[in-house]
Amino acid sequence: MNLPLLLGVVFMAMIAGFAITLMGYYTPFILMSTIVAALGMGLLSTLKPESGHPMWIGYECLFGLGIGAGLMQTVLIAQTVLDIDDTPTGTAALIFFQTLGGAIMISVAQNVFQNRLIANLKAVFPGLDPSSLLGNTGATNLQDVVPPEYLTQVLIAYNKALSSTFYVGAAMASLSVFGSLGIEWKSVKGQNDHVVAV
Amino acid sequence: MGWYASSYLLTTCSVQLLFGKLYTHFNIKVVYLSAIALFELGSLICGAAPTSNALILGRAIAGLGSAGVFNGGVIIISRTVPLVRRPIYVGIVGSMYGIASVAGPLMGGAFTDHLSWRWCFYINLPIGSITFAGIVLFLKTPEKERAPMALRARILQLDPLGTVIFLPAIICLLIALQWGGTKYPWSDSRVIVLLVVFAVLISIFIIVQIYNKDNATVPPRIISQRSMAFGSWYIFSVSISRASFLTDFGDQANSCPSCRPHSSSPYTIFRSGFKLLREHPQFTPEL
Repeated sequence: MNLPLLLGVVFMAMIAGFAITLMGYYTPFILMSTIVAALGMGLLSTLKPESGHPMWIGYECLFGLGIGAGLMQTVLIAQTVLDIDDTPTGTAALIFFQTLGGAIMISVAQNVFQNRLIANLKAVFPGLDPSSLLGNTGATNLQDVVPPEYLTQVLIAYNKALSSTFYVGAAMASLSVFGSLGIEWKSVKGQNDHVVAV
Repeated sequence: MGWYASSYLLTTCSVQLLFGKLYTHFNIKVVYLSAIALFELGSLICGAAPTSNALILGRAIAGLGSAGVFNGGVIIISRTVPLVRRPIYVGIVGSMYGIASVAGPLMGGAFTDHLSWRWCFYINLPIGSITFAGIVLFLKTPEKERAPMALRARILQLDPLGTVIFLPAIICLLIALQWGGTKYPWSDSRVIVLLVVFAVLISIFIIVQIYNKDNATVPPRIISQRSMAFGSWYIFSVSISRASFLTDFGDQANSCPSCRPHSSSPYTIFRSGFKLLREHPQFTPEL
């Protein structure tokens, strides 16, 4: 359950919404999002099987705060810097990149995770057929497949594979700085409003 | 990744940009209601699906609609709320999305255990109907005066050439990503051909966009605006980062016994991996 992550997202999305309305600028929140998300993802990659609940929950929540600070607020760019006639196209472009990023990462994450898991397992059990562990086997029934005396090693291999996947996430969150640094500081205050009263 | 998740993503990605053009050139209310209707139709097909293929088709149709729903929600805010107050509304939409991602899997699990997995989809019908009725009754979008225009000219505004090139390009990319390294190795000719076709088509698409200017799906002057260009990179990279945590359809599909996907989604594996690691503190290995 990703509850801590989502609590972080919801909390920060609301705070950022009110703060941007008061201050006028969304760019600082997008910058903060880059920093906090990269930090959170980096910390998540350090988790070990023996890490306690406070670590899991705290890191997940931190990553959520990073996502909540910027991801939704990005659509404000299209509404602030573009003409009213261009906002639907601009909004669609931003949301497209959001969807595409998710679609690409599903495949990348699966590939990185499986390849690392197989490599890690082969290092510990040279004779093992890793395909017996993949396919329909999620970790919940890992215990049914793995003899108990090997479970610890398998968990370590699993943990390392998870960390490798999070390295990709942490790297991408860090690389987002090349986007957030370039976004203009433009206030949502004092712009031409094209709203007709409803 | 099973086809239940990817058929939805495939259609959502493919038509997201087209919806931007539809919202630009047609009545916002009509386009938004059509998108909701498509999503509900897809959900109905999923709920009533007699076969696994019908479920995939339903997901694809729902994906078409959802591309317009999310987009439309943001565009309606932009036409009804003054800019300075929009950040709050955008925050609310973001929070709703967050809450729904928690409530969805919980409700899905409860439906599957106590009723039927079909209700994971049927639940969209009453909720969607309330939204539909509310929009019909209360939304008055300010419509700008449009010069009467021949049908041909209106269709040309939607960049049909660009769309015809873009759809297969995205489909090739996403199928290659789905197959590569899992169903087939990356060196498999099928995967390589798909990636090459994607690269060729997307290059042609970009040329068409530059050539078509304002009638392009994404007019170059919009995407090359400084904040738009940098914002696109930010949202793309952060979405990639976030995707390692997103919940998805995998849970619901796993609990539908007759339509089990071929492999668990990475999210499902991640989460159950955490769960296992969390629930068994007695495994305190020497690292």
